[in-house]
Amino acid sequence: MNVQLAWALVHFLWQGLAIAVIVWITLQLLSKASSRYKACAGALALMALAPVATFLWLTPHITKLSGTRDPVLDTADLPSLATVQTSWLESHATWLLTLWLAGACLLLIKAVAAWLRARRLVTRQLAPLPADISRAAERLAVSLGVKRARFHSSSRVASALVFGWLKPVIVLPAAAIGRLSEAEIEALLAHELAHVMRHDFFVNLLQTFAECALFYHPCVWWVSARMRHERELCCDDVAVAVCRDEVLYSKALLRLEELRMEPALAATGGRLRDRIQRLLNTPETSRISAAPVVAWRY
Amino acid sequence: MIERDTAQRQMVRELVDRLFGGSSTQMVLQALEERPASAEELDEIRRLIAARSEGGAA
Repeated sequence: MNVQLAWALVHFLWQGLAIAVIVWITLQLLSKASSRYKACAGALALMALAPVATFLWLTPHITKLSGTRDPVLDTADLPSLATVQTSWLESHATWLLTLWLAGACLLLIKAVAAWLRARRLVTRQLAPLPADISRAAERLAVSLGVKRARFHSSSRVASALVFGWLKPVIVLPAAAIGRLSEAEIEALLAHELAHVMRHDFFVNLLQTFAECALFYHPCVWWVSARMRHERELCCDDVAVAVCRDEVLYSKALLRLEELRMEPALAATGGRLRDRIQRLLNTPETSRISAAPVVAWRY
Repeated sequence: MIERDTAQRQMVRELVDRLFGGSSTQMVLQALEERPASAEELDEIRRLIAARSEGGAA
């Protein structure tokens, strides 16, 4: 069984690369954030399934092989390259699996630590939102079909954020209240409510498990990072569809970023700049995908 | 007894924080990027918004 598992992990090296190449080509052809997100999510799901499928496929295959191989080895003077590789992997399968398991467990512990820290962030030192913003938030939640979301503010968070799937908690930075207009705060809340509406928290958990299990393949990290980015773009689109003003929403993001008070010393890839550029340059029709969802619930 | 419990929990937490960098960003969905923008990037964003606001008004 160790051997099959080791083989499944080794086969995933080319399988993961093949899936990444296909998704890369697909992404060149797709322009809507929602389609691009689905392509990434599909690719990651395939990546997660590939080693499982390989393992199941190999299980009867390898047992059959090991039954017939010995007589072949006896008669052959020089073992073929394939046989040498097979026996190397077979003799080192336990080692490989131990390394893989150690890496995966380490990342899993890291994810659990991040979870605990995030939960502390949304359960401690929270303040209620001012009454008018709170009312606006509840109204927005109803119009987007989100139930059971709770809203708070905290001086310990830098960005508007959401944590939790079935009972999501949305937290606004305390500094944003009073410094951003109510319309700007509503636009940011719409972004977070879009995450709730799309079950992004739950998907992110599955995604994190996939990252932990397949950590040794750079293509997995690439697809996963792409997926996270497209997810934010999808929520940007919902936020703009709700407030119907991409300049207002862009300003809200800018103000929030300015309130961080700790600009990075070096360029950080300009992700926020790219998002805002996209919001301001995208013609209405390319973002239309988000509109029906919002219009239907509005 | 309670004090020792809290102290132990604190110790475990500090150890975990030290080992794993103390970031919660992996588990929250936030509107801003994980890393703050640089001063240049903020300037560029301001320019983009200003250009669009003027263009819209004209």
